Amino acid sequence: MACLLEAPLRISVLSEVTASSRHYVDRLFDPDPQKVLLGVIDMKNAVIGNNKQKANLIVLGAVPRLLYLLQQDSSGAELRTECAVVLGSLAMGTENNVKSLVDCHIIPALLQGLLSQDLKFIEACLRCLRTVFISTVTPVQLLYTDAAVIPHLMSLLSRSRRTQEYICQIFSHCCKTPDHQTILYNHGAIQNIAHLLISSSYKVQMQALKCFSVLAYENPQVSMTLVNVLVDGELLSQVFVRMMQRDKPIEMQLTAAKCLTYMCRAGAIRTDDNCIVLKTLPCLVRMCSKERLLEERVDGAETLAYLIEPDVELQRIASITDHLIAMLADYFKYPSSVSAITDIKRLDHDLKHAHELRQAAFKLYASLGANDEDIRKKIIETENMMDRIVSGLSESSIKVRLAAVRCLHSLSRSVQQLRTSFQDHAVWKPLMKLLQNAPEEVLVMASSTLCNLLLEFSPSKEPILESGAIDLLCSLTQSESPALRVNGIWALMNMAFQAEQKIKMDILRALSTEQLFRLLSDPDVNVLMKTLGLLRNLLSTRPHIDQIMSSHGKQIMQAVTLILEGEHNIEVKEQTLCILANIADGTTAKDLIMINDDILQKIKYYMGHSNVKLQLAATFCISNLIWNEEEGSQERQDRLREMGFVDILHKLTQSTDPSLCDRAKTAMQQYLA
Amino acid sequence: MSGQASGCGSLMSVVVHGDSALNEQEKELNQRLRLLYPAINEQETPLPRSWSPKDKFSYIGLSQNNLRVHYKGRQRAAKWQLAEFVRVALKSEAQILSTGRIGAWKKASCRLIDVNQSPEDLGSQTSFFPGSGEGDSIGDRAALLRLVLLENFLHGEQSNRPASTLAAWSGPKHLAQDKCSTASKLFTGAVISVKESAVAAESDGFEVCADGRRRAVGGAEDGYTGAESVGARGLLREPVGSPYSTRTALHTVSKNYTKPLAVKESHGKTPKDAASVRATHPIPAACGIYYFEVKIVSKGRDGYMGIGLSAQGVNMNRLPGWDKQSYGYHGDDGHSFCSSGTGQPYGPTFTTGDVIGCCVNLINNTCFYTKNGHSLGIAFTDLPPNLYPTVGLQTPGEVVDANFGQHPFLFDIEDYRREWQSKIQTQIDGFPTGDREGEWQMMIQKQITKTLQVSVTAVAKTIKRFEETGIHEDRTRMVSSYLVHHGYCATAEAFAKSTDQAVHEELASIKNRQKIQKLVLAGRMGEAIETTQQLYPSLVERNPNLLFMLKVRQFIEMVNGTDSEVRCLGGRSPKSQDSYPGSPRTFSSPSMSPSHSANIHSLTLVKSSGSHGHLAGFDSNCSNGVISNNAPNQSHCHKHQPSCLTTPDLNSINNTRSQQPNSYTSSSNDVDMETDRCSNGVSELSSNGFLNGSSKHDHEMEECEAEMDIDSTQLRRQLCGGSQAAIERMIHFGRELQAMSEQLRRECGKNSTNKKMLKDAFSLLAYSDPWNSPVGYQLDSIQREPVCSALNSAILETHNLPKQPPLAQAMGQATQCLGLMARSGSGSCAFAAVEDYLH
Repeated sequence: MACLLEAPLRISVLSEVTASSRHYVDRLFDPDPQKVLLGVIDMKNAVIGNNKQKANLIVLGAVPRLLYLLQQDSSGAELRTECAVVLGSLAMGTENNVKSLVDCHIIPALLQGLLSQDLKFIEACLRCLRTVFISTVTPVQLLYTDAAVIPHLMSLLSRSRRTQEYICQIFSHCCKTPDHQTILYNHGAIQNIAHLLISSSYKVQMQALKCFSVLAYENPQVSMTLVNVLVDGELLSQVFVRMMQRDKPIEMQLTAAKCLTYMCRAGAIRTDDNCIVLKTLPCLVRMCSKERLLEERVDGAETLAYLIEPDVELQRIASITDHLIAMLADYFKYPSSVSAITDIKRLDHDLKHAHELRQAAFKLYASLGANDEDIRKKIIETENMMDRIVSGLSESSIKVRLAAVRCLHSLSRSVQQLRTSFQDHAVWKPLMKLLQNAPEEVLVMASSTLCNLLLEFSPSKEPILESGAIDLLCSLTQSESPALRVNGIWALMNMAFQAEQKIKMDILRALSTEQLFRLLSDPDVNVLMKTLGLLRNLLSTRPHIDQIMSSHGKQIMQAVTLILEGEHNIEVKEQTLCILANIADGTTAKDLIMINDDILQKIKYYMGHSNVKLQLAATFCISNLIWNEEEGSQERQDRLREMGFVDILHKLTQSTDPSLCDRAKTAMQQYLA
Repeated sequence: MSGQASGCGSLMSVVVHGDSALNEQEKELNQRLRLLYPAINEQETPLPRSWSPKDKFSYIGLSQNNLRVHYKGRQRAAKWQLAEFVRVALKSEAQILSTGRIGAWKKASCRLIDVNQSPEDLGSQTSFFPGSGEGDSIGDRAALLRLVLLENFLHGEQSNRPASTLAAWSGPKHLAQDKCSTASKLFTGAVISVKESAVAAESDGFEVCADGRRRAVGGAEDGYTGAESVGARGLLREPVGSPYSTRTALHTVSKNYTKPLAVKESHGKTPKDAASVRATHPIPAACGIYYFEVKIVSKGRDGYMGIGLSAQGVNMNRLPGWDKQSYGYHGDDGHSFCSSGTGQPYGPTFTTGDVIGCCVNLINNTCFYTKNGHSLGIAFTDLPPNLYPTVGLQTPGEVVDANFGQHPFLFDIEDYRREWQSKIQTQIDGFPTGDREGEWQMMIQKQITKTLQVSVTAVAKTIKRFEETGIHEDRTRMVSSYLVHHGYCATAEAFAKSTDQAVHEELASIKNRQKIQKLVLAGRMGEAIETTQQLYPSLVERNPNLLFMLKVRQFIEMVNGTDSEVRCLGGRSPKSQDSYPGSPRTFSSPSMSPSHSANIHSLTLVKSSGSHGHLAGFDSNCSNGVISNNAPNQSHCHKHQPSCLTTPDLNSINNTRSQQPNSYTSSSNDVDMETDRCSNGVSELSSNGFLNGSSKHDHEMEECEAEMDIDSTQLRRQLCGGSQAAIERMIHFGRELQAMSEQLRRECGKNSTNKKMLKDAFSLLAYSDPWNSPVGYQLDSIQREPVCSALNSAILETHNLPKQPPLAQAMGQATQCLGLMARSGSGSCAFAAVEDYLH
């Protein structure tokens, strides 16, 4: 009722403007119902296509009166219908109009109206509801507050073509979460809407199609049901394929392709199914062509990116279809230099879509280059590609930045590109800048890319280190998000691989042992694995091992014991045993193991473990401990013999696994020599 | 011998099977081509269905109904002939062996080896024949020899069948299994050396080979000489002249002697090894969208394959794309070659197992390729017309199969066609239209002269407008003028009323014409002439030729017994004739006297079925008038009229129209032209009227049928209806006609048309059964129509009204224009059939 409370004040300000509209509202209060009806009809004619008039009437408080009339049974069918029509007209106006309407509780009133028997009135209510719900300002949840609404809407689907169109449209706009999908699914949306796909009315077909696309999105349950649905004896997927024929309207082709894409991604259709490979994919590529509208191109590219993301074969096919990679380069040419001067309208249009186009192109490039080195090469060879990514990384729009990072991430999987174009364009600079204060999703992508850039062979490694990456990454490891923690520790791990002593010490210092141990007890197994990896990388080459163990030996040994005792999977244990083996390779560090009976017992236990990998890692550790030529090897050999290791080694030489057998034999030789 | 026989049997069965498969394939091909290119008239513009054995370079070999292409290379050409020779040799060897002349066989076998090996390999080869003529049994040696030969032969065919199985099928004497295997083991080395030497010889250029061959020829005797010299000649036919080829040849020869393998590598690397073949026919423009696919059966050694298009006259010793008017997509690098030796990066490379498609869009003159059913995007733009599908190969072992529609395509070309069809349709529907009739005519004329792409839209749009009735002034005028022209006055009247359109001709005049037409179509020529003379007194005077034609027709109708003059003398009147209320004569009536048959050579009895058809047509014409006066039927009538205009008719209308300028310029010929027109074009036009009538007749059919059935059972056709008086009258009339003809000749000079007309008409009397005589067609009621329409046109002309209805004219122009577009290479005509707009 906000609009009403403010009304007196506004009227004083807008008195001149609203004076002309006043009499429309006044007539709504006429005692003669016939006059009211005529007034409403006049009002209907006055507001059509006139946003100012709509705003005026809303300000003057027409909405509550109209709603009142609409709800009164005494009003008569015609008047109620006309009221709904006028309200629908008002909803067609600006966002503010819709907001005012929603604030006046128009939705419950209209939903109530649907219970009427009069089809015309129902249609008018649905039309108005549709208009309100397709606005972004309307809270979708309002449709689901009353549990009886959805079943009632389903039952109305059979009433007329208009009800079909409006209801499908409402569904497709109000289905935003998996919960919504489930509600609609449970009320038989699929069965009720499927036959509308072959309706004779294009509008109904289209809305039903859109409805399916939102229902199937990331929803395996719906998707699995959809593939088995028969419409007039034909499989739904075939109906969709028919809708993608090139002579069908673009909107229909695109939406049908979306449906199939979502069904495919939800696992209901195989990625090598002909309807995906030969129909959906080419259709989506066509949507990216220059002939299509900017919106369609954006939609097409995004959907295609989603479709091919997990499948390298689809990526390969897409990369050769219709020069897609070159076609996408055109997405960056908006607003075009020509349009700027000649056509203001076009410039405006271009500007509006420029960001969307760029981010869609980046997304698609990211998907295309996700797995195949040749495709990555082709992408990078596209004109000004690296420059575009670099500038994309620092664009104002978060969407573009995110997409650009994703693209960069895909391309960073190429060893060759890391060494060449990434270096040439100093990609690390904007990337590091991006990492400073970005929203989480961007951070995840960016840090993930950074992981690749920090690989030992990457020439970017040095400058990144110099720009203070260690502190940044260490702070990431303290993040709430597991993904960020993984990326942070992963990057540190990569950084520590075969690094200089100084870097290793810097990492340890920046990370602090407390944090290190916190990470070792991280609930996310990936974080644990990468932390162990970091430890292992830190503990390589003898001097480094000794130095680190001398300063942090106690804590590390504790952590190792803890993990070996804990409930962890094989990989984690193996990684831990490898750390032990590394420690055993040190000169002074060996003693830390030798004096620790507990650890030795554990090694012994793992040498007799059923898993070969663990046996191998444990044997490796022992082998390092008893290695001849090293100081004090004799004592260690003796001590370990006492503990019964020789017997175990002897047994292992009989192993069926050749590498384990070899390893055990080499160890035994240390004793024999 | 049994082995051979069974071998033959199985081969035969394969062939038979192949034949039925072939028919099936042919059927499928026809079906698919019809479906894909409905606008194509294959009589005029045949579609490519296979590679052309004529238009190929000699290095190319064709097989499998000229759909498979393989690379033979320079040497291969000779090798093929060699293979042929070996086959002959094997046969004669078998003969020798069977006759037991072992000595002769030994000689022959040595010679065979001679022929197959290049000189330097001969030494090693003989070492594999240690017992040549000594210890080994003849059977074994025969087998060994055959192995060498077959292996060599098969190498040429690129077959991978194991030697042992081949030995088993080939021999006149069966080899034991173990001997066979030893033989193949023994011979692996030899076979390889044979191959190598062959390859070496190949790269040497023909000089060396020819040399070797000549040596062989020198040592040859009797039966083999012919075959060998053929081989040698085959080699000599290869190009020698160009300095380029000699240089390469010399180069490779010098290299060859030291390092044969390196030479092997170099073969096929030079552009001069390239060879192309093109399809039998160029792609007709009326295809709109044309598509063919090529499957890479084997990439051969290097996969230097090009798939594309080339114009007539392009050098076939090149890969497609290298020369002017030649376009190709090459497998080794995935580049596209647009009339240039250097390619542009285009698509992925392709190799064994891939299917490459090539689609020519004749609407925007572009081309794109597909790989395994995936479109690769536009490769060429601004293509010239009349391109042939072409493939080129460059290295040994390359084999590709074409699919011109024999099999389903991997790429969904129909979907692509649909897109363009709807594009063209939208273009037509959205074409801006002027308001007045004149603008339309002008626009069409302009478009025709330009024969531009857009013309199709204008034309089709015009046509489209014809079928939409009502609302549009111009459109309605066209329709009403059509109605008026053909004298559908009631319909025209109603139409005019409903559309507020003034009819250019007075209704009375229309009715008059209608009356005359009715009379002519009923065969009552005498009355028709009389009425015409009454209503349009000056018309026949000014048109003596027209009058003559009418009179000749009258004579024919007299023979037919339908003309009013003979009918009142005893002929019968048509059933539905209201002006002659007298009951129709039946043939059982006494007036049918035997004397008739005495006078005229014989009286004819015509089968009732024939007369049934005759009468049906007759009646329908009469009922035409009745129905068009029938108010409730009006809307129905005018709706149906346009649909009855068939395309070929319109074509001919257009033809006659184009003759018009002539007749205006040479006024002395004016009269002649008039009659000409009658016999050529307008006759067709009038058949429209007939069809029209009959289509309407369908609705009245049921009413008439009962009566007609009775008639038909009783009807028998007799000269002049069987009346003696009528025959006399007819003969008298004939004399008058003769006199008139003579007079006409005196006044207007000789007129061959008139002369022939008269002669044909008189010829009717020469036959005992004129209806079944060679000139009997004149008696058919259909023949009334040219006369009818000539008369109608003449009357209209005197009133300064167009001789042809503009509606028919515009349709004719539209159809003609589409044909012109097809000929001039404008592909959009494929998707704009006039018929599509006539519903």
